[in-house]
Amino acid sequence: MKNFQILRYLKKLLPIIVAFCLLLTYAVHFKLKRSNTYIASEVIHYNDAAAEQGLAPTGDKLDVNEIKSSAVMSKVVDKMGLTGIYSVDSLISRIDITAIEDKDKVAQKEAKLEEGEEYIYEPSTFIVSFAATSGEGPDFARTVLDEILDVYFEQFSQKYVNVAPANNTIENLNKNDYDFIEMMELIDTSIENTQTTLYQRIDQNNYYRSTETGVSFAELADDFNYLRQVKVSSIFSKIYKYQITKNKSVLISDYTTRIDNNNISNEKDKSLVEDIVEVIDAYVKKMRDSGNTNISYEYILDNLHERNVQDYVGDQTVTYDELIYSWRDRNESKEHAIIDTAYCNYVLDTFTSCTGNCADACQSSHLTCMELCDAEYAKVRAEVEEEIDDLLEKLTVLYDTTMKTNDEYNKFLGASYISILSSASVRESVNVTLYTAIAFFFLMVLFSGGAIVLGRAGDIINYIFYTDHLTEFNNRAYLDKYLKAKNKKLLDDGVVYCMVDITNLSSINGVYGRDAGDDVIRMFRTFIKEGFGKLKTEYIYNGNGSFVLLTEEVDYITVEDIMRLFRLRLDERDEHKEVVIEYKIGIAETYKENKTARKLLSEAIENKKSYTSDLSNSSL
Amino acid sequence: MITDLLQKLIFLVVGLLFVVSAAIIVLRWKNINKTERTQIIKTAEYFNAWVILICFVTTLVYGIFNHYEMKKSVHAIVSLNYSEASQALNSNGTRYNMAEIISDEVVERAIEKGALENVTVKQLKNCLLVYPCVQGGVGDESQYHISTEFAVEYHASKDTDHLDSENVIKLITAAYKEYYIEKYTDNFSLDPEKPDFSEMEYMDIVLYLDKETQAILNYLYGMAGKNNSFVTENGSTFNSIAGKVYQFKETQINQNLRSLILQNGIVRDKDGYVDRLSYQNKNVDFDRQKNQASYDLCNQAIAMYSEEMTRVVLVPTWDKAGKYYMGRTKVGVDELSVMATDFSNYVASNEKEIMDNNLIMDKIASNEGTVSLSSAADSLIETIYESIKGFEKEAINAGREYSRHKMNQCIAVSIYGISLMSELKTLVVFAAFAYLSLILYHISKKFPKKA
Repeated sequence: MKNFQILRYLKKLLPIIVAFCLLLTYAVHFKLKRSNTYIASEVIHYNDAAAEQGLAPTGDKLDVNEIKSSAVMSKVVDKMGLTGIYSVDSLISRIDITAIEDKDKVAQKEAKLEEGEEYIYEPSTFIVSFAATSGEGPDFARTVLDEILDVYFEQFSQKYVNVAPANNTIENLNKNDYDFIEMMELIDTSIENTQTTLYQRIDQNNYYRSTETGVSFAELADDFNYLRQVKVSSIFSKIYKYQITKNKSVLISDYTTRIDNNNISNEKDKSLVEDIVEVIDAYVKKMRDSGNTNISYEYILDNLHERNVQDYVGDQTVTYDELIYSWRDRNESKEHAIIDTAYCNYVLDTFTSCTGNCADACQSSHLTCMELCDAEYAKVRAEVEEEIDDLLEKLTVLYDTTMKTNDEYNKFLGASYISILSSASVRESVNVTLYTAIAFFFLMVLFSGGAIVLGRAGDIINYIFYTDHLTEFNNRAYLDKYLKAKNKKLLDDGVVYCMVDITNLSSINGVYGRDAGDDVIRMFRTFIKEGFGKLKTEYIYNGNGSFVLLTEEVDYITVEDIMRLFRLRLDERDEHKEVVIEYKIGIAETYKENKTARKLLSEAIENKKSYTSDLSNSSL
Repeated sequence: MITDLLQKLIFLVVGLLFVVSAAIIVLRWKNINKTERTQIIKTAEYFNAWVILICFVTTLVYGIFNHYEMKKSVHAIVSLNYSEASQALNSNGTRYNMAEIISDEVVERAIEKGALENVTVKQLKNCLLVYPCVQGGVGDESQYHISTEFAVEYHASKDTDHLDSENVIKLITAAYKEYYIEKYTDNFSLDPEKPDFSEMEYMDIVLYLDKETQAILNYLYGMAGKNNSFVTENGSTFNSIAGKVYQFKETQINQNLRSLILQNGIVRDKDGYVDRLSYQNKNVDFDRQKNQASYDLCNQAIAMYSEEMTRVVLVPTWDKAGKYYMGRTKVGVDELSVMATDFSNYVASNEKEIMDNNLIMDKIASNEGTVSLSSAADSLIETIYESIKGFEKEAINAGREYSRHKMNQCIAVSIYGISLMSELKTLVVFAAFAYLSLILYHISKKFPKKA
């Protein structure tokens, strides 16, 4: 059997191995690319000091997972026009939030806890990531992440910083069936509430100006105030003066009910106030009886030394104060209700009073006196309707500007409370180039191993099935296989087939014994091997003392010389000199007419010449 | 579209030639032996004049079409030049979002600006791509990076094939710049429509003019808050302009105009205006009553606060603002006193408003309806309005000058067309491919059809 030579096996299959490896590596690369995801990440940091206590600016618990709330994602889906293409849940599942802890603070916390002291530290820096599939691409990941954070910043501000709303609650008020005075009351209340909210904003940031609307909260407040002072009061005065109403009966019933409700509320508040006074008296008495009211300055100083006054311990309003406030609030509610009743009475008086022009007919009519007898009533009513429409239109525009300004303010606050430490960067979840290189290396190793195993297995099979064990040459089965393989192929130039047959092998076996016959065969093998040496030759022992030598890249003369040498070596042999060996040699070279293996072999057979090696007589 | 087709056609023909030649060689491979094959390959005319000529002509034609095709892809770099950009913020302090560069609004604006025909926002948007020129990482702090330069790429599609690529990218970036400046840079303007003063009550005009002047003051104070020392080319500062406006407001509006109208009881609709003031007084009086009630109640609560209980809460501590005070919390009487003072102020304010209205009503009642005074008031109103518009212009110019100074044009854009090197690279690759195909075809012809 042939020696185990790794390079021999690899050399043979190297092109195929490389080709297969490249093909499979491409397949791996393609698969990795297809299944790869793009992850866009940003680093955000909550700037508010309370964030490290795990709290939002309002003191509520800070929940960073609100970034992936459906409230945020549904807005993102709307904003990006992805409705119907992506479900909110599927996008939420692709968001990942990772906290980045400050190592120093974590160490400080652990040290404090070890000492038995309380120390609160929560991370305030986070990596927010969004994953997109390879089909969606890196830009999609980046854009979605940007939008998510845009919306979240705005919502954060809305929820935890800029909480008071300034919404338009009076839009299309004129389309409902409100009475004029009711409409104006609603408008007045709405403006008043909006002004209160705007003044709060002014207190927070006096000179904030929206770049989109170009106005500040102060200007908006001035605009609302102007409309209230000029338009609202003008319409109100006309309504009162001309007793303008859509339905006098409903209006009277409405205001009468309000008075009744105020009276009931007053009774309730009165009773509550009395109860509170009783509780206050009882509380003071108990405190006095228990000696808690005899506090001296020594107690205060002792307390001061014992407590760490640096620590803010939160609001600790005492119960007594709460009782006093409660007393004041209930009384205030009662007093205001009385004034409201006075206002309702004023409205009732206004709409039921008679100017004297109708001769008291209005008292029994469902119409007001002015409606009954003032010729200008209809005209003024139309004017009022028109003015209300105009006012609502102006207010709607103003509210729109307020909302836009407020939205931008929310974004501004969001960005000032949460800062970006690193803007969106996109990376692949798998390093395709690296993994492709690894795959190529792995496949090369695998295929090379396979080639070695296959090569060696081929050697074994060859040895078992296609090797003649006496000569170590290929056997007849090999020759058959060879001829079959070469059957349809043309032989190249320089192919020379040579046949060497021991013609008297059976007589040698008979006379000198089988061992002598085998020795002669082995001797032939040795001399042939020596002769053909480094030529590219297939050695075949065809059985019955017949050798076939298929040589490539050679010419007829060279082979003829080799065979001449072979004969000389045979005639000068040291072994079995007594044996007379008769043999034939046939040589054939490829020509145009015999370019197939079979033809060449036939020609070699035809060209056989007989020789005898008899050392007892004269030599060749 | 045609150039694209022709370019692909040329490539296809050359590719086909390559495949056919290779197929011929493979099919005829067995017709000759190895030596003959080697001989064919060794003796092939690799520098055949025809092959070189055809290769040259094909490459030239391909190059022309390729040039037209490459012209369809251009890119621009948008750089943010203002200081807030390094914090990933817009210049107004809101979060910066680069996706806005190719937002619907910007693309629509670009289409309108360039009067681009036969293209929709969606079609054009699909051809655009934006990404940061440099991006950081999130692994550790050293990798953190805030991008301030963004690349915008345009690749024409069959829907936008008829548009000039460089023009499109110029329009997009210009539209974005315009959009950005409108949306994120300092913006201020007063009511652009001049109200019809002849329809307004004189006192309302005073209120209106006061409101407009106050708006200018707010803007100037806000700008002064951003940069107190900024000096315009005219040598003014925001504060100096504000000083002028304030002085004007106090003198011209609150003193001259208001006094003229008030003292002479100048009014357009006497009854209507007096009715309105009466209503206001009634309304304010209800508020006054409520404030008075609240004030009284605070005082009563202070009075009923037990002296003994005051001592209980006197413990040193800190309040939410970090201020030191005696008591577990602020003592109720403190809070009630503050509230009482506030309500007292409200009452005073309500009473003043009522008194002001009464004064106006008294003056109107004594008005003899002199036409010349009304004309004088009208003329003064016009003069004041023109002056306010002048101040508005001055304030806006100062603001713009500051923006230019601060933001260095806010955004800078550089357009990059086709690169000569990239074109040459494509041509060299194509020429090599064409030459290989032609040579292969030339060689394939030498292989005999039969063995």
